[in-house]
Amino acid sequence: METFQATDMIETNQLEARSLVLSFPGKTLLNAPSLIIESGMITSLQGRNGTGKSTLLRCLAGLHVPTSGEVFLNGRSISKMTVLERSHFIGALWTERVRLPGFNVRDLVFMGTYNTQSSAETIASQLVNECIALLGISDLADSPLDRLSDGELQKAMIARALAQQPSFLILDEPTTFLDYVAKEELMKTLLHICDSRGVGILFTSHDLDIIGKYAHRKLELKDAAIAQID
Amino acid sequence: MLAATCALVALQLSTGSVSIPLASVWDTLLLKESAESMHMTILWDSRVPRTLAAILAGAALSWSGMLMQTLFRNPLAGPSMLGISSGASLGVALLVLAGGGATQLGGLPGYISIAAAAFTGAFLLLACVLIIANRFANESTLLIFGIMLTFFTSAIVDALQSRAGNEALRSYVSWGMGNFGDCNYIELLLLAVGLAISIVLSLSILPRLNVMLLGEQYAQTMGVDVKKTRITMMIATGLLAGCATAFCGPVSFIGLAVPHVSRWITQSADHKKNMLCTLWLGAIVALSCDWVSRMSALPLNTIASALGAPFVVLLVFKWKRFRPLI
Repeated sequence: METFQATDMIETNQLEARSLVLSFPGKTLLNAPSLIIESGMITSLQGRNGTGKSTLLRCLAGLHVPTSGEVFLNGRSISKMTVLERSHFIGALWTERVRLPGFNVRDLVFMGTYNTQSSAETIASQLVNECIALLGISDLADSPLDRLSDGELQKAMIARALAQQPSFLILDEPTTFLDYVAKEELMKTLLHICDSRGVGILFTSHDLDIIGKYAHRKLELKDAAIAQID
Repeated sequence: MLAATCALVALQLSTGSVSIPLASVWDTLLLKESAESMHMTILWDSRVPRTLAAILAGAALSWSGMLMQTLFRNPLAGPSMLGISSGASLGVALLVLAGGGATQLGGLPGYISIAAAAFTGAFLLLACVLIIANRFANESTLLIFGIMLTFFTSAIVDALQSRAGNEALRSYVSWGMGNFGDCNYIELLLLAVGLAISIVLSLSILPRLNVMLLGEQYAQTMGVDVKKTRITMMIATGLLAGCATAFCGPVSFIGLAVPHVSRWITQSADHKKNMLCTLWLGAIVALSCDWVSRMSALPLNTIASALGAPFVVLLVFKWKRFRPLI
């Protein structure tokens, strides 16, 4: 049985930011740019350090309230959604590395099913196995998190986000610290997730090679505005 | 673990300044006609409540330690964080020391006054921390605030101590050493109710606790209402540590160490796997410490730290697989 819902729903989901303004005393990070992220596409976001890429991602995920402007999910303002509702739309990978030795990969991915509390344990564990397999780390399912390499940990964390069954994945620098092979592997996996599950992926990176190779759409954050690069 | 608990309870009930054979202990507990009245008094007035107090307080302190370590995502956190123990100490210090040795509040008997003072102090300080937690949703800020509050209250307690008379000082210090032997049945009932409420609260947020260990950013994107969960955790901890400290004094070591040993036994940091183990192990550790403390006539806190610290060090060095699992 296919537990993943996103597959059969070919409807396109939209994550939209409308004239976001983000300013701190003495600095304006975002000056009213608008952007639309669509499902089934990989969108990259590049920009110098400190331009506010991470803060923009945090706004899109609803963790940071912008100074003005709003973020919409399929036309609904995320500020009017509960955290639980949001978790069905957006899964995220942040730059903070979490290496809890007391959990293995399966435990970690299982945490992702928190938002589907009502479903039975068997369905949840089937979903967990599916997500782990999708990321190609089935042989690591029982390894404690502190025994994983950086690349393996990133995959486990992404499997955890996928277990939320989100329409979008927001990934903050997913390939940083990974070697060349691991980067390629991870990006190929993301491409596969995007194609097979229709998940929309937005990721930040400084690696122009990776961006050039895998992003369907390339954005750059510069001077508090977002520009599309061709 | 069941066998260890039974053995400890038997040991606790039968040994002491008067040893009672296990057969008579059994007869007395079942209220048989053949039971001696002296045994009846010793068991029902002293050893039974003491044993129950150790079990309840041990379980309460250990689980509160576990919740604190998760809340702060810090393996060194314990029930003494959040100002609970120091709040209780402040309450008792104000009553005993500033009251010029008076251990009575209004017309209440001494032990209830001390418990009431401890409880009030603990909850007032916890309320301060809750207000701060509501405003700044960040665990490091909370940790710093909790620790600063502890320093500040201990300064007040020190000031009170330096000006207190001998007798007041003595009764304050003896409360501070921890004791499972001063509980009566009403206090035991309160302790049990506090423990039960906290367990129900903990069960209601149990699936979220693991997610909380990933930190605020992740917990929030995974659908956990971080603020609400944090406040529930704090109320549960406040009840657990507050009750235990009010009735048995500030017993610190158990709450810090037991969660680590529990995680080592289950080889996991999963709260679902550790809840029962932590509660139970806490009861066992408290019973053992109390028994040794009774036999050696040394204060509970002395025994808990003197035996517990080397034990944990031994775990770390002897078994290489032992590592803090959070």
